[in-house]
Amino acid sequence: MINAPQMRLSILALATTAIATLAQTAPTTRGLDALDDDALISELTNRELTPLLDRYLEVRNLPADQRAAVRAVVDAMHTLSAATPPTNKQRIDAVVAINANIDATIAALHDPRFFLQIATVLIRGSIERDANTLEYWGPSAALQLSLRPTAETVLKLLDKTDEEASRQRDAIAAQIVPGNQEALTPRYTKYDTLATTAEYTRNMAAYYAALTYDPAAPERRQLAQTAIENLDQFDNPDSQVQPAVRLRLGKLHLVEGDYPAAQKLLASIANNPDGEIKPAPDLSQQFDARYFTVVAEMLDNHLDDAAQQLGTLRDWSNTAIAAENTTARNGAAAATSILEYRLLMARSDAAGNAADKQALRDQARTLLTQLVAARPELRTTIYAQVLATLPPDMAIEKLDPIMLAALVREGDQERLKGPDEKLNTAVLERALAAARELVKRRGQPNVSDELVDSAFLLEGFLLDRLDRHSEAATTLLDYLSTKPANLTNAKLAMDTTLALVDQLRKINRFDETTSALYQRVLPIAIGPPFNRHELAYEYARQLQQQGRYLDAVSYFRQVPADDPRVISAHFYEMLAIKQQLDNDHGTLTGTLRGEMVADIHKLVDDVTAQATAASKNPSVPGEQQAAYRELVAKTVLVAADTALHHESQPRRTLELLKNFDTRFANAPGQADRVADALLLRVSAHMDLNQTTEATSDLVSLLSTRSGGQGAGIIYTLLQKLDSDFNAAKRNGNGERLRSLAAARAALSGYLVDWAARNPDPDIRKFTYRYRVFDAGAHRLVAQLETDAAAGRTDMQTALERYQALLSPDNHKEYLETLVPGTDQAGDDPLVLLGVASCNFDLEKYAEAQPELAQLLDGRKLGPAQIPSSDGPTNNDPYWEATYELLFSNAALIKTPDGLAPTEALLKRLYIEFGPDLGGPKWSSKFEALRKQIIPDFKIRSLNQK
Amino acid sequence: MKLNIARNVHYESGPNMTPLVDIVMVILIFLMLAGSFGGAEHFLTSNLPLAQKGLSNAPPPPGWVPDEPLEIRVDPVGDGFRATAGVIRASDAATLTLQLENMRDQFNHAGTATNKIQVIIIPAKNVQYDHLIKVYESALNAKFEKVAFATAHD
Repeated sequence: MINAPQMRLSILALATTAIATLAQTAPTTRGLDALDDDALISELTNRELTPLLDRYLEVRNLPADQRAAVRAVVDAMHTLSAATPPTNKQRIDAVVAINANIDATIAALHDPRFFLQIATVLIRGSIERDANTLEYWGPSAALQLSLRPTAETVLKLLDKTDEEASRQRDAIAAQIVPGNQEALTPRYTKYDTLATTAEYTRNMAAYYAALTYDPAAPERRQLAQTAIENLDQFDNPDSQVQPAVRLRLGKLHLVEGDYPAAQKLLASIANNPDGEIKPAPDLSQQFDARYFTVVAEMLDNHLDDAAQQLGTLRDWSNTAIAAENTTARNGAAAATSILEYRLLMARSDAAGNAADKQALRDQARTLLTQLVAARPELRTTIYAQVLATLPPDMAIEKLDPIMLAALVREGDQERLKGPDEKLNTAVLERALAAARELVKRRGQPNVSDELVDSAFLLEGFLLDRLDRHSEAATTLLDYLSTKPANLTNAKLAMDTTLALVDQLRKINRFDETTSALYQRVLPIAIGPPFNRHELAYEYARQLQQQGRYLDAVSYFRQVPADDPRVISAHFYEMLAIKQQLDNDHGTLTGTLRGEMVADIHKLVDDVTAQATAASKNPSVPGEQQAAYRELVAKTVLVAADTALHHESQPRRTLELLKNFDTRFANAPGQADRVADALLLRVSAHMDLNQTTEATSDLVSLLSTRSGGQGAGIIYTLLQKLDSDFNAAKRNGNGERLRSLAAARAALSGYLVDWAARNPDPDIRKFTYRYRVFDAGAHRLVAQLETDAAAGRTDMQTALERYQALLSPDNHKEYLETLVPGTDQAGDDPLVLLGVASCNFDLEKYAEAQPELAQLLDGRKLGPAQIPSSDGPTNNDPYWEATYELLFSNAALIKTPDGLAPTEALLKRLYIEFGPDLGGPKWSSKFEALRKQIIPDFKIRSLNQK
Repeated sequence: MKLNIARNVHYESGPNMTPLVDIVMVILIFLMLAGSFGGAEHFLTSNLPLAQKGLSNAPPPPGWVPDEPLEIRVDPVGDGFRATAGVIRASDAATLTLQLENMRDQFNHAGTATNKIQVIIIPAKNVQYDHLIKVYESALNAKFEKVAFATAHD
């Protein structure tokens, strides 16, 4: 018989080579027709000829479930042995698929070569990796449990390989006769080799299965002992695999807990006395032997001996491994660091007191932290080990940095899951808390800047994955505010933030938080190192709308020259400079103002030239051409306004506005522009003391319009005057206030005449209202007059205008302005208030007081606040009357009892409406009155119980 | 169910209706209001007639000041409401009661007697009745004596 033990050993060397060959997916050089039966499957699998495999399985008439099982196994093998290494998830999925389908596959097929091939792919593609982790880091229940099914599958496959190969070998042996011996012997040898290989590999692989059991489990010991017994036959030079077998035997003794036996075998590999092991152990085997010797000492609780052996291992590595072999040296250094970590943890467990335990544990974690820094590619494995030792329900703030880093890493892996995978939000939340804790510990031991940087960045990404997009964007902006040194991370954060904010703006751009985020991200994105200048226009416009004109100018200047909005950018830059000049409170130096005006001139020229060209460009759509014409019109207005108000050149203003209404007759928004130009013309004429020309200018314009258009122009002009007046008031520009008030009064007088004489009854009916407005305009002029005597005279005139409005004729006109159904009793409350207020301004309090009292008593002026969609707004006539009544009382009444109701009402109003009583227009006056009559009064909170 | 408002109501005149002021009564008041929402501006009395106001022929004496009403505007906000009266901003009955009571207390200490303060509740058109009930109750619980309703505002 050929089945002699000696021959078995000699073919083992061939068998190990066969395993290596089987693990490769390269096709053989033989033709497919040369293969017998099931052997075709392994060949089709190797060649990844999936359609042919499908066809073959179909022809074999295999049941559908078996066909599906074989197909699943083959697909998984392709994944595991692909030229591009699979991702961790792909690897796990493939292994799970093989484990799930292996029984059906074994039942369906009989090719021992195919079974051995699957086992080999599993060992190389999955088991060795996890077994290696268990060997280096020690038992891990989770990893052991996940590895066990695969280890069992491998044993099952190798048993089946042995069984099928032996069966086929024996069948061939039975057919051999002298006539066919030469032909059949190669086939016999093939199956015999396969059977031997399967048996050998099975016993070597039993080690992996043993590793998956707890050290105290009887299965672990049983598997190890059986393997030791079966492998013993190969522990001799004839096998050609003696060093590998000896090493595995040593490890198997370790697994079964027989440490002296393990040490003895391992020492023989390390030292190879008298060259007894053949072939001689290679460097890797010698290293492993020394390494596991330390492990054996440690597991045997000889911790001092283990530490000494560890030192010896390090010394040996430094001398035996050539310095230029950096890969081997680095690998050895990492392995010994892990071993030192385990040793420190074992020492910590064995330490007698809590302080020593903690100190050793800290030392161990520091070592790991250093290892992560030195070998980032080991991070996943190290963090997985750290997580396995994480105490349950441990507070985040009590965890070591390495544990926090491991949690963050775990969350990072979780967040990268695909859309069809179930997300573990608890893992994400835990990682988020860990990342925040790491950021908090910036600068502390074992918390490197790189660690904080990545944790901070991931904090944002984790929040995003948890659908907390606003928080994510805020966090990423906080991260960017630290000016991270890692530019790649910074750019990633910036891109993500912009995408998040864009997404949030699509949902609700008016949301307060989203607006704030947008405001925050823009300047960071536009600035270095990101230089996203395409966002400069948008940000500059926002700054301009917020009144930050100079800031807006600097961003308008960053709009790229090829941006399609560049003409608009120049226009708004010009406008922003003018707005800054308009709102200046004397802070700008003369030189600076001169430079700003010069900038406006330059921009006026640029915008006019560019926008005029664009408005005539036939390739520009008609609508845009019109928009450019409007832009030119606006630019002329800015230039004219600047000349009038910032260069004191009213003549230039008039020159610029010559024929404005005809030049821009077809520009959009023409009515508004013409009104603006009209106001500037009137103002320019008035600055030149050309009142007649001002009126004439207005009349000549109105004469070209129908009645309704004329009224519209005047109304718009008055609105513009009021708006400018309020702006001047906010800026405390007294001179401008007086100028505008005078223009307003002049215009209103003209308005009354124009309306009263107008043939159109629809215009004439507004005459009474224009008169009321005119009286108010004159009262305002009187109030602003700086000369006291002239002011009194003007105020007396205003009073007379109001009193005239109470005449029977005017009263009749007043009643005609009322909407049907309105209370018609009494005179016009606004006129009565005007009379009272003029008397008040003339300090005729005794006359003002009863008029004001009657108005308020009848609630003719409405409530203190008027509801609106934006919340209640202050009713100015009410507050004016109330203030003047209380002030008049205080001026007239000198006895405490007599003044008590006035004091009580003022207190009541403060209690009800708070310190801003009367709103911006009246609060300072009320406050002055309060200091005068109830100086000690304090408002208390309404929320105190 | 009885609302805890009867004991807080003070009547200046008329028959004592206290036993009848229960939830049914309050609901009736609001049903009446419903028919008036959006109509001409006038007050609908609840427990008290409003003081008659208007210009009288005799001029008020020097030092005279008007009795100002305290207006509580009620607007719907989501499923809830917001009551506004001067600086008061409340979205629940407890807060409103607290703020109104503190306001009334401060008014009294500042020299304005409670019976000089006419509280007017002005609901927006689509305010739910049960929110108006809460506001009404809050005013009474804050020990205001004159509480009236005005027709709805826009």
